[in-house]
Amino acid sequence: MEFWDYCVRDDAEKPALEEMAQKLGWKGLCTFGDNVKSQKGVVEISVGALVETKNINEMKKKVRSARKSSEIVAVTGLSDEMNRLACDTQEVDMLLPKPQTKIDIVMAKLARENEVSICFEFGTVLHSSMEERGQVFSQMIKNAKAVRKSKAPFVIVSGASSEFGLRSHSELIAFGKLLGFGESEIKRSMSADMINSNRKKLSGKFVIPGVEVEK
Amino acid sequence: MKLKRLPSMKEKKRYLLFRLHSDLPVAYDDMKGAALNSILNWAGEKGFSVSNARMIRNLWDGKRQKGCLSCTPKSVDDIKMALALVHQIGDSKVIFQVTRVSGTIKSGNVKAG
Repeated sequence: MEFWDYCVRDDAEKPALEEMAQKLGWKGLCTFGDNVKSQKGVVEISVGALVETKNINEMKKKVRSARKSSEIVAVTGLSDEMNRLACDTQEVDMLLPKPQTKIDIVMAKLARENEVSICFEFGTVLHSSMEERGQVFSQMIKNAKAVRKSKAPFVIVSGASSEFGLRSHSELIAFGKLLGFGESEIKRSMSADMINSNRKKLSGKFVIPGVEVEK
Repeated sequence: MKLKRLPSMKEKKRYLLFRLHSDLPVAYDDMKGAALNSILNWAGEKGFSVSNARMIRNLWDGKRQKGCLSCTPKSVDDIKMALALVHQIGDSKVIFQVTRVSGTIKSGNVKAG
């Protein structure tokens, strides 16, 4: 199975990142940097749009404009209100909640209806200290419980800011299992399904699931 | 008659074959210290004793930076997570990559290559 890491926050274009991703067995990376270009090498690199703002109207505008060109549109949930609005917006692909923010059952149900994947970042656990790490992981378990209960889509990501922040898919699967998810659903969440469906939509051939325009 | 434990009474083990990616080569003792310390931090003293985690010294390949660690089958995910949380040994940044989990050392070596 081919796996994608959907959240790499590396801002610079580095061959080292690509090399490390290849060693760790990734098929593709989705980065959120301004200086990075999409490329299709041994490891595919796709540039997504990360919307990070406290203003709700601005967020909506940015998401709509990003949706027309970007393969992945993610929103950083800076507040509970922002998290809920992101879950209620169809154009959003992923919600990256801030560490220790709560995802309740209402948000998770909205996320399921609008197909917004809730992200669980390994990097937030990695870069937190002893006591904080426990609190961060505890909140993640609670969020995962709400996500599981409402059958909302989710995605396990590394959230790496450099090549040494990357982890292989087997480690991320172990992380997901500790959060309470099943192995098959974790593997499905890290597969290329999300990016492939978005590429189809961007190509202009997609009408509805199962219907495509052939020229 | 010599009392002997039945083979079926033996505790089952899992062998985690891992590879260490780092910018500088890492010595065995430093690697072992970092890995076991991380397991102790993540799982706690009770979890560490239940997991029965042991680093196997003679399977450490210093050139290729590959090694093997044994633990109980139930604690494999905890050990993987704890190894993933190691990001620095001394001055060098590192990544532990678990390449294979197997029931015997031989099959692990054959399949991991």
